[in-house]
Amino acid sequence: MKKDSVRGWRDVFNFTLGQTLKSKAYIGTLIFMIVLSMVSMPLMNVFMGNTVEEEIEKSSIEKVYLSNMTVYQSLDIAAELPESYQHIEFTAAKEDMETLETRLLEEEENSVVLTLKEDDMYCYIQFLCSPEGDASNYELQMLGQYVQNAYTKAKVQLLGLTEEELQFFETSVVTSASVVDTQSAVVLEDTSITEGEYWFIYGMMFVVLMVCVMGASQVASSIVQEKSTRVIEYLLTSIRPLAIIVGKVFAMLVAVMIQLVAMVVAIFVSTKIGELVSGESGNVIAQFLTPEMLASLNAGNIILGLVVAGAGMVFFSILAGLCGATASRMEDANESLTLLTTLSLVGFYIGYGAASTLMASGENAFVTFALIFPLSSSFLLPAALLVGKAELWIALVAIAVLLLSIVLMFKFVAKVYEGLILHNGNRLKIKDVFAMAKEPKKQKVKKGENA
Amino acid sequence: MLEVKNLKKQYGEKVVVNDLSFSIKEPGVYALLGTNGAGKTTSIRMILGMLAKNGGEVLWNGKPFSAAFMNVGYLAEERGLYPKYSLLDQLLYFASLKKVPRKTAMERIKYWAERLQVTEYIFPPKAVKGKQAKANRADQLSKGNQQKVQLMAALISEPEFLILDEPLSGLDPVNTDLFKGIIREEIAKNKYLIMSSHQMPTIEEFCTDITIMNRGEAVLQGNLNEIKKSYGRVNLFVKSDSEIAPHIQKFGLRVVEKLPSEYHLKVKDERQAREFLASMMQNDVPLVKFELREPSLHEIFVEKVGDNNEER
Repeated sequence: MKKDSVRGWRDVFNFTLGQTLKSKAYIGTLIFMIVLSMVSMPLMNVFMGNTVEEEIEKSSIEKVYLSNMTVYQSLDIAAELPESYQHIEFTAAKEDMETLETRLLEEEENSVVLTLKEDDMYCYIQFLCSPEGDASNYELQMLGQYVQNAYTKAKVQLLGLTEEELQFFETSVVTSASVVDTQSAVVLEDTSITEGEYWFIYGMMFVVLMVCVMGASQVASSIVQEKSTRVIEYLLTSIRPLAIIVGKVFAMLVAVMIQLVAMVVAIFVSTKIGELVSGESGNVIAQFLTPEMLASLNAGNIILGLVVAGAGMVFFSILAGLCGATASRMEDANESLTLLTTLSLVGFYIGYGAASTLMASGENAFVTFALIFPLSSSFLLPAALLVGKAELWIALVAIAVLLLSIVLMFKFVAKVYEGLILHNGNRLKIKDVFAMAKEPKKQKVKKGENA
Repeated sequence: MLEVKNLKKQYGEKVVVNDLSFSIKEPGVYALLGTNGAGKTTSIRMILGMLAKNGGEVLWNGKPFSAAFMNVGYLAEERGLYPKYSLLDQLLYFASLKKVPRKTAMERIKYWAERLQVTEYIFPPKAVKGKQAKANRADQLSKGNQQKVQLMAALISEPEFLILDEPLSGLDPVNTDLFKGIIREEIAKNKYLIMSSHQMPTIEEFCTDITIMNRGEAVLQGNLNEIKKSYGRVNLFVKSDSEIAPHIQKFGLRVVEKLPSEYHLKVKDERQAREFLASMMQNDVPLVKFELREPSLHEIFVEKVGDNNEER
């Protein structure tokens, strides 16, 4: 790859990035992603019932008729209630349900009937209230939570457990199986991941896949557009084809990175807003990302992860550029991306298989392969680094392999791109592209191209 | 000086340009002529280095020519502009690719926009309340205006070498004159131009040297005046108020075309034409027109390419 071949790539980069950032589609997507990220945390808080207790200054429920059909008759519900619920009067329901219903409807609209039942599997907490009453669904949900706490405590007391014993009982269990020799030295460490780590890796892989495919597709469609509008002919009087693809790939990389960073910032802001509103430190994400999981979350690993993800995007974008150049009409653009879609999915599934393997049996040769193989490393490695399941040497080897693949891809593209870019006609097949690479001088363009 | 030597291009077994050679020794316009599919655009693409050659070379002042590293302007046959991007952005981009500083580019864009009467599209006034903003994207322009913007892109770097592929196709008479004026100015600036066109009068108007291509091969090359001279003055145009068919038959002249009141005849030489004129005068035939001239480029082209204008 000669320096002259990429001369002018910065001009392509500046123009492509500028136009992408100005485009309505990009701005629309960016706004959508930011809004979605901003509302995501408060929404998750709402859906996961992690909202503010302080919102209820004084519950509108005045009286509770308790029909306790469980074996635990000495429930101390009042002990579980916060200040806002302390005024509620609890009375055993002595009348039948019909009479109580009539009373709620006609006289005591702010009273509720609470029925507690249980079977071998579950405990049921049911509320009956007047439609005219002021009690909100949320107030009832919270009251249900306090009743559930009282019920659990009653069960624990029945078993004769102390608070400390209960805490010990509730401690989460992490299984680890290491092999030791006769001197008790570990010869085979357990490297498997927890379910939480598995879902974290899976989620991260999905995000990287989306980023790579989004960026790469935009590179391809931009190239097809230049071919179909014949702008390419004008460009080629000033720069070489390779400069066009290099400029576009890096412009799209930056454009997608801007979207990603905006999303991350929006999520951060959203989390902070959630904390301010709820008055609680920590957030929904923290419930999933335990301190153990993120023990490896440091600047070095984050940078390495970003480098790998970025290199992966460059890799797939070059591939997309090649795919885009095989088509000369916009209607062929989607079809031309078959190779890109196939290879990115192959890479994703290899990574997915490796993540499953990590959970089932820990690190092995397949996992190491998936962490280094360029198709899968860009998806798997960033997440694996963040959960501490990829050592530094693996990350460095993977980056080296990715960079080597990118250079080789650029060389291949340089060989065939000149012929491809001016091809005008039916979409070229992969075998035609390889034929071009083999015989660059004799046959740059498939027979049948418009002369 | 531009030298094109033995240029060859083939796709598989099919040779689309074979052994094309010509040179432009002095500033001026060189014409590449040919039917559709004759190989003109492929030759131009090879000259510009867009398309790999299967043989031959292109030299500029004795050194290998590369459009990407020279100041070359190109107006392609199939016009190309980004349909959705602002025209000003596109022109600035094309200028930046040619390494024209932004400030200079802006001045030139203003100049050419004024000359080509497209200022309102390149620099549209801001939308006023109740009125829609002016078009400033290629897909909102007429074909002629798109062509003007394309010409601006070709000229923005003030190229020393200009290739115009069908520059006047699709233009109305007013804009044709506008383009012709600009081409004349470029010629006056001592620039090297290659022009490809199907409009023979335009070629005759601007070009000094020509190559006529047919099926990828040069079938006629050289200085246009000399080519015409080599054919001799054998085209006779006669117009009369009375019937002259018996006189034509008597002299055994070939009728090329019979118009309602005019004959286009072919004579062996000037002597035969003079004898024919003398005979008509003797017989008091009332002549309105008697013109003996060289063949037009159109006639030469048709003769050389004939019926072999098969589309590739």
